[in-house]
Amino acid sequence: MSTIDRTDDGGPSGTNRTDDRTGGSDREPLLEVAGLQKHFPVNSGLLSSIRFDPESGPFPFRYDQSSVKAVDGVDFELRPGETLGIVGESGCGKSTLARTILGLEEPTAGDITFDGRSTDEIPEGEFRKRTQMVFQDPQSSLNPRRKVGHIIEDPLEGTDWPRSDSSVGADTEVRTEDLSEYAVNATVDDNADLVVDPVDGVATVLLTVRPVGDPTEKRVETADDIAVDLPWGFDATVTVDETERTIDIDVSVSASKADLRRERALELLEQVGLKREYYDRHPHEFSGGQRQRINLARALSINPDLVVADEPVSGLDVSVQAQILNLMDDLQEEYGLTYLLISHDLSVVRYVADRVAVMYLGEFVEMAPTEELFTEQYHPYARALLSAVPNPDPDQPGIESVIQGNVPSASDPPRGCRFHTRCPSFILPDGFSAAGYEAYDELLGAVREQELEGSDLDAVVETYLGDIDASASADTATDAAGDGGTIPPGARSDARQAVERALEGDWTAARERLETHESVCQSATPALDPAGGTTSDVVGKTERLTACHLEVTDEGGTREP
Amino acid sequence: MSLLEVEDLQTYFFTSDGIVRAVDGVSFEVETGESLGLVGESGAGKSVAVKSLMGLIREPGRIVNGSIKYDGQELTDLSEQELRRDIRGNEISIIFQDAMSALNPVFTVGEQIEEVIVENTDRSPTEARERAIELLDDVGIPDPAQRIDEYPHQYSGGMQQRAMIAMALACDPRLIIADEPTTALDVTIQAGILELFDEIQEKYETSMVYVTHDLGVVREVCDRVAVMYLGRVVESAPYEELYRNPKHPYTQSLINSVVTPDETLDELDPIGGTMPSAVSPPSGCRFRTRCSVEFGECSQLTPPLYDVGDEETHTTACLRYDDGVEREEPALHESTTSEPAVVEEQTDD
Ligand code: SF4
Ligand code: SF4
Repeated sequence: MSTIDRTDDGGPSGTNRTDDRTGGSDREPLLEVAGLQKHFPVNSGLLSSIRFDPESGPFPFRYDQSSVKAVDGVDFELRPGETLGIVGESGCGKSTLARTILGLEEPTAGDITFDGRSTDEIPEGEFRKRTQMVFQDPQSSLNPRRKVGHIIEDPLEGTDWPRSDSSVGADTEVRTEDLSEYAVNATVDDNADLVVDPVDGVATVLLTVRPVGDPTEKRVETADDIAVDLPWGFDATVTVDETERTIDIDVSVSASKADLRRERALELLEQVGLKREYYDRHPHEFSGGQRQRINLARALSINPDLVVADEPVSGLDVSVQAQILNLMDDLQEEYGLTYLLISHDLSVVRYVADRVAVMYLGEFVEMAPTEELFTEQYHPYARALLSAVPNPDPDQPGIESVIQGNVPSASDPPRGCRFHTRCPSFILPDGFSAAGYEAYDELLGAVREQELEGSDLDAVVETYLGDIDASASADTATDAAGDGGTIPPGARSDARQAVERALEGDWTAARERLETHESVCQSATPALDPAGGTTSDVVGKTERLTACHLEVTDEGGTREP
Repeated sequence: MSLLEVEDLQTYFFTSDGIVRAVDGVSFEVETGESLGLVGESGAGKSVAVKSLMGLIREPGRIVNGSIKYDGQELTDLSEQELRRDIRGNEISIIFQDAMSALNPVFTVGEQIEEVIVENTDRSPTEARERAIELLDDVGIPDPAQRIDEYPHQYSGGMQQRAMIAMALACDPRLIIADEPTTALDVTIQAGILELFDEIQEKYETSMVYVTHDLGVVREVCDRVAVMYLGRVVESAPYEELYRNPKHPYTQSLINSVVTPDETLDELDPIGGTMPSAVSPPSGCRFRTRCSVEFGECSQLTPPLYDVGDEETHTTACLRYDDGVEREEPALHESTTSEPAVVEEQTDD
């Protein structure tokens, strides 16, 4: 069903198109993503994938099959009218996720269900029509040589909009002025829904019929004596039968499809806060914020259900950002849009999202209703991310830089919890101090690589654990200054035995022995599970999810009921 | 005497579209050891202002008027050679947003830092190398003794920025100019760099002019702030005073329109419209086309910087500075409507 909604005042607040798609949490999800993965080969092309590898027998080359795991197992649901914000830093995979959902990338694994059907089963044309993407840089996505109006009309043309819906009826509503002696009959073509919005399956055209000139002086005799006020886009043929005292009016759609598209573009320009006169201008005549408005107008032209916005306000000035976010919010209400908003900027997400997912190295690490997430973060990465955002308000806490180092490579993500290499809350096994565990972990790493430094048992142990104090009991594990750290006595003797095995060539036994003391953050991958224990009451879906081995209560987190 | 005194600086660009008055009568001072934030949106002229300080304005741009006194010495009188020999790199260093464009990809990070040291001090090459490792350590590069021999592309974005800071520090400048140095970085990386700026200021006691569009960043690294709008400074004050007690309508809207993580959309109150072009700026007060409390005289008088508040260091360029300007609450939807299409944003970014 394609119709346009005609109003005189236009403007973002002028119309009140309350679409029945506007969200409710009990509705079926519009979008469901399950186990989604997108991996890219590290080296595209066969030749560049060949590695020299002297270990691999007589033919010292092997085929490098490693891949960048840009998106690596993402699950979520998006309900109609909802906004899900996905935040993460560069390289976390959020843009790839967006592109994969929209079919711009072929998923490596997983299912995407849109409005109850797998996206594989939805005809491409229909999917294109119901989903739109808004990119960060409107400059590059707007053709500089084309008029803004035509740019906005492109998706309309692409989908051959408008088309009349045969199941929608047409009717007229006639008002007469000074024509009491005449009976007025009006008929309208079935395709009236091209121009007017149908209500309850009927497109109704309002017309006013009156005599031309002063009715006391001039009699109504022919069609020329009658004036008909019609909405834009309609034409009327009038027949007057003076003897029968009837007036027949035949209403038809006079606007061409091109006219209708133009009118729709003009109306959209107003809705996004621009002027109708801008129709004929070119993109370069506009500022960045205005270009993003044009982009939004284009995305909305075909009335999509889902809009995926990838960094829609990055690169814009702060005051312009605020304007665009306000506009997106208005448009969502008006069109009943569902948004998937991708951003590196937590503040932006805070403004428009109902729920937020925090992404790290291809995975969601925390997902929660926006307010709850900003009040308290359960996952150490989410917490670190939020505490790194500078806040201009001197009454709010200043930034804290708690994450060290760089994001590890997505082609070889850390085992266990992917955040463990940078986590400030890393769980140390009992009896280990941080430095003690680091030394132990280095030994474990060397055993995995099968490359120990040192020639005999004592030398190896000395190399890796020489500075380590093994005498301390579990509860006094500390890293005193100048001291190499602490490991529990049991771990030390296991380490010795492991090195012994390794020197005998039994690397597997050595590794397994050492792994008995490994931190849970490395040995097990935390699942994205309900957090806080107290939240499962909320319709089963708005619960908070977090992927961390830490018990929320360990962090002193008490949520407001 | 302040370390840096800029007075009535005017830097114009003579383009085919007309004269772009990018910086048009800017005055500010930086005390020894002080960190001044220069804040504004794109087109405000902040970047052009600091490039003017360093003599980095190129054709068709030119400083047409004003004075820049560094430690009592008039910089606008110096030739390019004198600037390069006496000022740039050894008295004043600049750090740009894009580290990769400032670092040379074909030399190792160490070679580049050592070169600066050897050129500007009397250290021997061996001493220069030692000093370079020390600097890399200071700016938080892990394993500096190894990583000194790596090439810039082997560093991550955050580390490149750190390397550039090390290079800026290489000959103990007394003033560092930082032009949006963290804008392109992720927040967790930015947080580390901002902390580094704090440490450096403490350790090296350098003064700093920090250009940014982000008030939150100013709060972290600056003592005082000057807000710029369309080529002029409209308000200047110690940071907390400015945030709690903004006098200029533009500063007020800037604070209200900043998107921060502790506010919701309802609290957001953006400034309507867009910044006019610097080719034909409005007469009188340049903010008047977007000011909700402008009155007749605003189009005739150019407001100077008035002293306001109890803080004598608080100045504002608004004719209504003393009548307790209260902004009217603009209707939410009105504020999202834009002004007519603008000419391209100016040379600033
Ligand atoms: S599982 Fe361990 S490493 Fe991962 S976030 Fe939780 S505490 Fe940190
Ligand atoms: S001088 Fe006038 S226009 Fe300018 S900020 Fe003050 S009140 Fe507004």
